[in-house]
Amino acid sequence: MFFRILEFVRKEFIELKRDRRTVVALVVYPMVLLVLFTYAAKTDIKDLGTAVLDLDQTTQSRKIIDQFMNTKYFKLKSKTSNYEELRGLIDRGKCFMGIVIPAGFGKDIESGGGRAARILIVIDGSIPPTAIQAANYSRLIAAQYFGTGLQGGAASERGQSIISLSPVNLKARLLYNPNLDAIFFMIPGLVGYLLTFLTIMQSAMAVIREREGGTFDQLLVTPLTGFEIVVAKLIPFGIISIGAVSLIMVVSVYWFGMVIAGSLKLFFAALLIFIVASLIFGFFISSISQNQIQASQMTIFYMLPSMILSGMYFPIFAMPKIFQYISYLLPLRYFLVIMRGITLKGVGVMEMWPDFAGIFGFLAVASALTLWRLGGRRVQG
Amino acid sequence: MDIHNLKVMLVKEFRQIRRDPRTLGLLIGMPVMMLTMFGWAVSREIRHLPLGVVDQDRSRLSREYIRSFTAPGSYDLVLEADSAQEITRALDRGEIHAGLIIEPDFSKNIMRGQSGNVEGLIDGTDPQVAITALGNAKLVTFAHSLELLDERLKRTPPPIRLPVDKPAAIARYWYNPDLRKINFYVPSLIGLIITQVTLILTSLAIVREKEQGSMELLLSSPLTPIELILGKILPYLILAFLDVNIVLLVAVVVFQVTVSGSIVLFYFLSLLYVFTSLSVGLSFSSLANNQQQALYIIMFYMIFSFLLSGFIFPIVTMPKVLQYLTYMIPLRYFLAIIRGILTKGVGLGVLLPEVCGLSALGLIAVTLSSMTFKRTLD
Repeated sequence: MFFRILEFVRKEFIELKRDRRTVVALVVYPMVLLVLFTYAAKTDIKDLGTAVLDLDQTTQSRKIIDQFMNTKYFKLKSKTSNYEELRGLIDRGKCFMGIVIPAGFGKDIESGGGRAARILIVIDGSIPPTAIQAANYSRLIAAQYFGTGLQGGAASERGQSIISLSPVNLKARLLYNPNLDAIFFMIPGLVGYLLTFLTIMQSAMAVIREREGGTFDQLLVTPLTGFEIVVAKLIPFGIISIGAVSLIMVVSVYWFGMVIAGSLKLFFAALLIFIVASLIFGFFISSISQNQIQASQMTIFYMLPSMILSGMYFPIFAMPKIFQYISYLLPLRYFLVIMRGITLKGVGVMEMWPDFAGIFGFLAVASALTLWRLGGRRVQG
Repeated sequence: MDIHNLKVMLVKEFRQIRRDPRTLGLLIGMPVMMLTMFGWAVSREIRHLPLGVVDQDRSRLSREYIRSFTAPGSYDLVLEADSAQEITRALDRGEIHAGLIIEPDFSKNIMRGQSGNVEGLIDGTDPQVAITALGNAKLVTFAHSLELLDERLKRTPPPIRLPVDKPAAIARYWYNPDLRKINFYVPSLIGLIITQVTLILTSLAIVREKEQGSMELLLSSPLTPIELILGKILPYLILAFLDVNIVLLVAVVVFQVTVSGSIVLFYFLSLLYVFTSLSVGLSFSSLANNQQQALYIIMFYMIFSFLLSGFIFPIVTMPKVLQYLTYMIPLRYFLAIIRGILTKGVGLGVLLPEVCGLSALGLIAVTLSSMTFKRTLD
């Protein structure tokens, strides 16, 4: 049995070599994706175009503006002299937000009592993720500035001892990804997406192609059993997929400086299980499709929710319950937890056994379904 | 150009479409599915963050502090632990995304006029979540501190005059005052759905012809390449336009998205985009020899559009090189148009650069396709 499969695998590789375009695509595609993902997929704001309307023109107003611009988040694009000008800039998209400092700001800061000092921040709300970040950072910067102002003002009245210390002192520490590099969070997502795409597409198309090409009946005449055919078809794709992922990992580690905190062996083991499970699932799709068009449509229909609900980019805990339940059905969800757990957190099977169980479960279900479909077909001949 | 020839092609295309009910299902099913998922599943603010707490003080003050985290709903207290080790283990296992460790002398220190110390541990795996959690935690702590400061000063005679209101930075969001994420995603989704649908349709159409061999028949017919292209595009133009309307309807009725600008302008410009996208799809399918290749090219292009068009990741934060690249992606212009009209309510004057960009790309695509067709003829 083993040699029969090997011969078959050899045949598959020969066919693959003839399809040069696909091979090139399989190598170039992941690389381009990697570059794009890592450089384009920035979630943190930087050099956000800001316009300033300073109606106070005092040392205090200039100081607080400096506080904003000294951070990497905001960049002073324009100083306006009236509200309409400010509005126009944001309308036209020249600036993303504006800082308005009302007249009397400096006096309010100095007095430390009576009227409260206020600044107004107007933000382009049509892109909420960026807007929220801009607002958050603005509030933090302002809070820090006012914090010092507050202490100074009240201390001058009564002395430092009472309010020089803030009542609650929160010292927060970031675990696992201390620099908050979005890249290291994205790469597992990229690998997961790529694998899902490569494996399911390939295996779904493979059988269909044989069937449409008329060579399927030839396959059935060979002494290989249905099981052996499945295995033999999956091995080349499995090898290619592992190759593509290894390529991505090498570039990630040596170019982007990703550190794999956990066990590399466990990583490849999980990879293997996921690839096999996806390949079998792709096979299942091809067994219920009648032509390539249907197979590709079903693949797309499966991949889309996979990408959105699996936790690749959007946190699952923030979704409505019903979608959280749906995500339990997606193998990509478990795979992402495992990948991120191994690379970023450095944890292993002890902590992530529920997710390993999930992938195994998917493997079992996919295999059962495929054998059921293929078994029937074999009998029909 | 002969109108009769065109009509014949249209009829033929429509008949083919009708014979393939699954593609129609995809046409309607996919947009609705995407809209539901994006509109409902992922347009939420990041709330209900799983939080674990070790309260080593167990006083009224510590409980009040914890409540300032959980009451607004941004954090869900899922773990009340007895030790810091429990917290770190829960973080390792992903059961919580943030943990608070309150020191035993928390309330005593506050009463004495010193600082009560809290250690916070935040899972940094997902930077977006981490930043939100961190920022939130700091703000909540600061606000709570101010409240305690107030109380403390009231008790200390003679009372010090503190500003009646706290100093503040007030943030106002224009165009989208409640900052409903859905107002961001739905317009973007419309753009993405149209892109996908038009791409898939044209590619399938062309490649199907190639595979079935009817390409030669078409090319030997008396139709000029222009008529051929238009004949292929028009039926899908109509279908894609129908799709836009379905999506817009669902968005307005179900998700209560508001249309701030001129809807007529929106229709005109989306027609322009559909045309451009279809032309691009055509030029792609002329490159592919079979279904599989066509699908690869489409997927590739869609990921490009997804990443670089400003759909999820803002263009302003990308490195300059990539920003220049985005000018080649039709979806980039369309997203600016949609957001401009639906959310900002601007007019044609502001959107002129985008219109030019789209038209230019469309013309290039059509020229490329007709050139490829002519080559096949020879």
